[in-house]
Amino acid sequence: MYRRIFYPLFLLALGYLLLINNDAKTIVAGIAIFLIGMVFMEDGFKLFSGGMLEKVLEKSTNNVPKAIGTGFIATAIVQSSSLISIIVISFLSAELISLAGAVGVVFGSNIGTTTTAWIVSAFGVKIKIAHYAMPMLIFGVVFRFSSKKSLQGLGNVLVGLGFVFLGIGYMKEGFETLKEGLDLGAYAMEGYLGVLVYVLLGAIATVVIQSSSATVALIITALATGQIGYINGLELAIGANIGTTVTAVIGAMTSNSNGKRLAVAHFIFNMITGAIAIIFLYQLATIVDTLSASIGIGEKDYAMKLALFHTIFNVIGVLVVSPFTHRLVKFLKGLFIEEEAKVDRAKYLDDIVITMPESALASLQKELEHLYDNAARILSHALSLHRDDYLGKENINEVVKKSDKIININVNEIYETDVKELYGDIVRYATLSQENMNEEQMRRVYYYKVASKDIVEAIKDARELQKNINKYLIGENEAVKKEYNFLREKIVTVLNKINNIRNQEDDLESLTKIEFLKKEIEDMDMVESGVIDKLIRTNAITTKMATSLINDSSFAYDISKRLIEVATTLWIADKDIRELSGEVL
Amino acid sequence: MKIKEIYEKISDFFDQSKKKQAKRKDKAEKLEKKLVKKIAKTKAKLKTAQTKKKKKVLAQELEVMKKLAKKLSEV
Repeated sequence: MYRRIFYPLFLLALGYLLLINNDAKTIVAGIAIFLIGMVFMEDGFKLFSGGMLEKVLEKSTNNVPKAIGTGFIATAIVQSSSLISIIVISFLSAELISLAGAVGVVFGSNIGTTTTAWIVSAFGVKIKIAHYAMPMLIFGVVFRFSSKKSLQGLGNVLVGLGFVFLGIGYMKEGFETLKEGLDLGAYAMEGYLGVLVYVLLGAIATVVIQSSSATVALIITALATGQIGYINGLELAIGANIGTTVTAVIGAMTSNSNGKRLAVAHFIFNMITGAIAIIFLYQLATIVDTLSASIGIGEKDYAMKLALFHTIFNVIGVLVVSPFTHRLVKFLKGLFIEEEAKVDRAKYLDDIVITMPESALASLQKELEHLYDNAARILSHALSLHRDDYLGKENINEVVKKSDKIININVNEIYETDVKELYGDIVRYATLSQENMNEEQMRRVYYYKVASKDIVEAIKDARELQKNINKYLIGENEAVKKEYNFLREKIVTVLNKINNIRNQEDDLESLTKIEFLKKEIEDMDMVESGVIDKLIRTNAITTKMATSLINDSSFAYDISKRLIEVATTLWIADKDIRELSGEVL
Repeated sequence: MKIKEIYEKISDFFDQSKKKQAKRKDKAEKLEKKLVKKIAKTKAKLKTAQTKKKKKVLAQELEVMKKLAKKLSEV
């Protein structure tokens, strides 16, 4: 509705403005080129960092001050707070970082994003930066043709930077020629009416442009060419900070609860920061003047002073809000509660990070663990056992013997509610996530696909096995009961040992256990072991029971084998050690 | 230096697969050393194991480890 009415109106107004004013055309073109530059830089860093950015964010957010520092440094380097937000949301969804850590990163990111203002004011408006843009674009395009993903990423970053500087050049040129015909400075407003009008203008401009960095670049170039007054420039910058949260909130409306929580945290932070900056605007301007004089910024260098102001009020915001981070987290958790769905769907797969290889792989790993947990529960119940009865226990044999009460579950129904849709989500995500991946990452996705198929096949095999377990467990024939208990014991032992492997950090130890487990299940084939022959010869079981046992021992073996393969894929992190699996025995 | 030697040095420099193989070998050696220590520990455990069942499990584990170490030495 909103888009259907306002979008055509916006396009019409923009078209009219470009038609009647040639200078406006140059400025708007500058903004457009700047924005394209930001998009290229963001894409470039996704490829260029090769997962390093994600690793740093994952490891350096275990407490709030550290998270703030990480958010600041990461955003200052990649020059994109939205890229950092995307990674943080994905990690939050994959439970790799805490909500408090994520909120800390967002706070730090707000300070980090002010470095754009420093770059624009220090280089963009002082030297003919557009000249440097050309070589960047040329080398960037050359690198983009490389077959290596990291060089392609570097190419995108260079092309992005080139466009950003070129955009600034156009904006500056537009304002300089505009000044000759129209003096925007004449519309300067003083007092608190001016504050409200310019803050609102800054916010609207950011909502329209969808980038606070572009708005700040626009403000600084307008300020440097004398088109707006210094105080009005400060007010516009406050507005840009508020406007950027509107963009984030709109973006988070369709996101999961983690995305919403983070957007609200961002909104609250920027609103409080904005309110502080508005109330103490003149006092802050005085502080900026004093500080500028002491660090060598010229009295009339309003562009640099604006950059300093932008940093100061965001730092004050962090100092004021960060002590309340844990209270804020509690509030956010209560505000958005995950609804219990009737059908289990993917919990960790967020489309927002599907183009970022390492984040997408981390999400897939978590989702497969989710699928495995569902499967382990279904399998246990199909074997008439509860996981609490056997996990971590030594005497599995006794546990199985004692658990002779049938758990009557309908595996088909549970498959429909707890597995089918989730499996579909994983297959879809795995397929779509491969776009920016290198060969090794694609191979990992392939193994994830195979593992998810193995999990599903294991459940289907358990469905077959369950029929006879339920039948013979309560039957009179002790011999067949004993053999079915043997199969139950074997599968449960595999599940139990996989649970140990899952908590094992030493991959070599895990591989040894996995290979040992493979050896342990070899005696499950009852035909090969001669068990069936012996039982038939001694008339201990009927031929019907014998055929059931032959089929079911095969199902049980397949289940165990598949589960071991899944464990190898999911819980041996080292690629080289993982590849040794299967070559040993 | 002979032309052939120069050529070999240059081609070695650019041969990424050789580098990868060397890296893999280096890693395999480290893993093998680690495994040898584990084997020694398991052997000691095997000597002091009380029950027959425990002895059987440890012996099988030892067998797996030895095969794994052999595989690593072949990398």
